[in-house]
Amino acid sequence: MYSLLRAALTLTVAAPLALIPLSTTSAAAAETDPIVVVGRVTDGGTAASAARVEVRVWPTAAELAALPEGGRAEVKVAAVTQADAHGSYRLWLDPVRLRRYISSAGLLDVEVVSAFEGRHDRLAFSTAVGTTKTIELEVGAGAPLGGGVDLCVIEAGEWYYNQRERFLLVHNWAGAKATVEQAIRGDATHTLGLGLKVGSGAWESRGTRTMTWSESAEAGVSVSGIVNKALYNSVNYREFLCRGWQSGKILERYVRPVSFYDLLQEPHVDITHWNLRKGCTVRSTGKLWKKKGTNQTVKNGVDLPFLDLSAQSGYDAGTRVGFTIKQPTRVCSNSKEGWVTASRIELRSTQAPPPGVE
Amino acid sequence: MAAAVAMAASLVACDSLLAGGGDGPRLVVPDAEFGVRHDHVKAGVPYSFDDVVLCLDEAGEVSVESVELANPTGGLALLGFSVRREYPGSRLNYIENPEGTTLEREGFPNHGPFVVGGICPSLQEPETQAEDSMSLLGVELARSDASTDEPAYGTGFLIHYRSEDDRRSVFVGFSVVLCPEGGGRRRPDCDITEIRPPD
Repeated sequence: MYSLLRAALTLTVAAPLALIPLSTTSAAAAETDPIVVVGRVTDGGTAASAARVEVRVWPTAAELAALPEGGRAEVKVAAVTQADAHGSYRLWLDPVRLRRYISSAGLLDVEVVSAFEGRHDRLAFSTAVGTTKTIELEVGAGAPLGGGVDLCVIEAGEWYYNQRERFLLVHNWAGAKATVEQAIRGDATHTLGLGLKVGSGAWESRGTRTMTWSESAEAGVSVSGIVNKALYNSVNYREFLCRGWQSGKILERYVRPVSFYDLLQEPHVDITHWNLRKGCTVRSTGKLWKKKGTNQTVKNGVDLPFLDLSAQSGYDAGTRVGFTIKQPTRVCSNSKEGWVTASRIELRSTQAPPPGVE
Repeated sequence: MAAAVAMAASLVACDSLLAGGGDGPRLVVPDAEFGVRHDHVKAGVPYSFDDVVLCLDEAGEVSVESVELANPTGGLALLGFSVRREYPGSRLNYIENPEGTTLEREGFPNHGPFVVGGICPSLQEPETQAEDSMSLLGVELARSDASTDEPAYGTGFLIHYRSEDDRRSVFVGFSVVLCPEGGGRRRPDCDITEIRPPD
């Protein structure tokens, strides 16, 4: 069975991307608990009453990776509704019916699309079962309809292998060298941007996909002796084409992260100091480590040949960063609440100029 | 053995884990997993840490009544705990070298009440942010069993506190490993990062 997407796919992409999915997950979500997508559709800031909103689900990365070039991906329209008079909408996804779309890590790749008076907006993300996501969509900046009412089929395109993902910046010094582990004591999770190009328009970032290392491999990776480096993973992206059912023309192109190529891939790249100044800790001995703090989002973390995409990872449950303190060291952060929960930390010699002097 | 600042809780009533539901402020601890490891640790030598930052979710005060070391192994003993306010400025901790020092020597109060006041900076409006809104939890630990060569470690701390009339508890994922002397050899068995509330 082929996936037939609505004519809304033929529209030019709306410009704004300041759409942050908010989510809440119940503490003990069962495998049958629905995924709920709620939010509001606006048109120039006012309610887009009766806007059409649909949720599409994408096949798992394993299924997408196995497709031959030109093979059809069964992207499914899983739920459809109309926004109410306030522009608000609510959609439920039944994880039992969507079981084949849920990855081994328990994540579902979703795309929310709204069409209103010939314009549309959309956002992609990954979500777990039992989660409620709030997605605000703004169609006001969307371009007018074009291409009529052609439907489209998603087919697999070419691969972009070994795209380096700048995922963690380790700011330290020789007196406090770092060891970084990924996926050794728990799965590594990375949220990477995905791109979309409609018609002859430009490539744009239109959401994210959360990848887990266990989708690609079992063994984790550790590197040690790190001093002031940007660390990279490597990701395989793949293009997917939205081809018109009637016209046979390519109406849209997607580029999605599908699998990891490598973790902590060399070369590690030298970086300069941030000169952070909040929540400082001074330590002269011992080993400090952290994981599962606030994640670090690296803008332009992935440089595809035609598009820069964000990467969000770092101090997740599967990534541990440890520092061996051999000489007096000042650990400062970007949070007044200190290095433990900060998304950015920096270790420098206590002999270095104090924070804020440089 | 250094004098304990306040006796750690050895037994905690189960109902303190279940209490709550009142309107008083709640203690906010770092939502993270983190830890420290020290090598070549001699039995009986105190190690003191002040890495855990405490603050509240709303205005008011709470009182830390006891602290429980989670799943102590290899003879790790919690000798005492204390709480102090942060000083103004960018520096948050005051114990530079945990080895061989006590909380009392580091200026922590040696008796209660151990009061925490102040809303967490991340929960405050920037323009009204207080300069000293956080407190530090100090813990003093030691390898108490000289007869074992096993790593002494704990998988976190459970903080028991009173907020108005409620007794509440909150777990902080702060692991401590005190690794025995290993003749200069690296001890991979001391590379423990397990975080787990008390069994």
